[in-house]
Amino acid sequence: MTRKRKISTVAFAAVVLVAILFHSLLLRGLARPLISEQMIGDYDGICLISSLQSPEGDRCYDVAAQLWRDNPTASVLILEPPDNRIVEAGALPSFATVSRRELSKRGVPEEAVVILPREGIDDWTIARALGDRLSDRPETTVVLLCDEFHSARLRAAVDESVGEKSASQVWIMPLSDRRFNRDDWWKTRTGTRTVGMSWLMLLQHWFSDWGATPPQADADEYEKRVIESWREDAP
Amino acid sequence: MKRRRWILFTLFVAAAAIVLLASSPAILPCFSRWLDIGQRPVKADYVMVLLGDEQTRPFVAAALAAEGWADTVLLTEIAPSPQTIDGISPPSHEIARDILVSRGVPPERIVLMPAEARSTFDEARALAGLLESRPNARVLAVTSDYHSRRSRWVFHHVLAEQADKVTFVTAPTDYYVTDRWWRSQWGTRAVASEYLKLAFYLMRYGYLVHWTAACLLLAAVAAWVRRRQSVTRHPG
Repeated sequence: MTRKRKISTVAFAAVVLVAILFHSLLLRGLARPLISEQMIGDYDGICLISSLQSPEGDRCYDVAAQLWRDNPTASVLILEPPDNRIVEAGALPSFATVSRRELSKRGVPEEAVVILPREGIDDWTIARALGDRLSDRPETTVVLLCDEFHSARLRAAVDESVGEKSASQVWIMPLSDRRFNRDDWWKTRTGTRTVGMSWLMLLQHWFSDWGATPPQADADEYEKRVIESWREDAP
Repeated sequence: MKRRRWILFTLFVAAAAIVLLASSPAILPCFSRWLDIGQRPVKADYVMVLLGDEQTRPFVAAALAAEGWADTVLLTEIAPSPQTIDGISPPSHEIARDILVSRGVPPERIVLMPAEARSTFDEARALAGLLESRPNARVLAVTSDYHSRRSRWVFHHVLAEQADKVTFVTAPTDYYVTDRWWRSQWGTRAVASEYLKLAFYLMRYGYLVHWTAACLLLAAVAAWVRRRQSVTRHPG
């Protein structure tokens, strides 16, 4: 074996050994870029968002209620996505309705809750809805609650979509999932799936441009299109 | 000579990357289309809604029931999520049930299979349990277009010969443009994650690990033989 090849083999073996011995550290480091954490100072608003139709962030209502109790002059902002078929079918109440109910159960009065419409279901629509609100209130700051592995992506969307001034008015508070720990996420199926999906979506954010969410057909129109497709496929 | 080979190889890789990048709007839609193995409905005994994506699947199941393709709709009991435990939102199977009822499916025609399911595998096992008592039953399984290929693989793995009794009817996804899936967070999440999950399933439950190990072994043997020949030809 040549000297060069011997050195390469030893170097490769050393890398593999380090990876095995320090795999926990490496895997923990893999999750770090997905999380954006900031020191939270004085705030005027607490913002809640939804992931499709469910509220985002484990125990988000508990955290929002606690933040409100720490500062009862703050408003709780609910970014309401467009209604979808599940809400139209009456199977689930809207995100705003659920949020009002849950916040009320936790002692947040109705007058503290503000509903802000949001155009679609992507991060940019969250950023724009917040940006519109904050541009009229340049001295206010908002704490945005979200899932911890969504926080870096949301931070990037806010920084890119709204002006520098408005972006500096948004603080992101990542909420951890009770089902797994960020420091050993690879030990659970939920943790592995969450980190994997979050990386995919972060890569999409970095490398792809944003396409608008297409308008969703109502239930009757959706079912009609599906039934017609079966008839078109008929032999 | 060796240096020239490396330069040619690098140029080839760079050219291939440029061509791929330029043609990606033509190539990338194929990734989402390949995942969709939807079939036309056939007359069946049951419609089974694979849970998740309640914006589409229960509506297609309701349409199948309304059009008379099957009389009974099957749902699988899903393990409770943290939000269900906290009483914030009902479990997925209850949401699907409410959608079915609101779309005209009589409640007595909806059957909930007890399972505490956490994955498509658990749902397939729940169906296997039902088919033990009804071995001749035909089932229309409704799932999202991007989920259908993996679901079919799972059902074949769990049900074996009985999988022939299952027809997959796909629910088209309309909260992103499927032919431009990479331009949407939800499209990327749906399509790219399906490929990762497929690879995981093939490794965990299929023979991908065995094939990969065999290929690596063959490559190692070929490299060793080549080195031996080289040493024999040029012993100095």
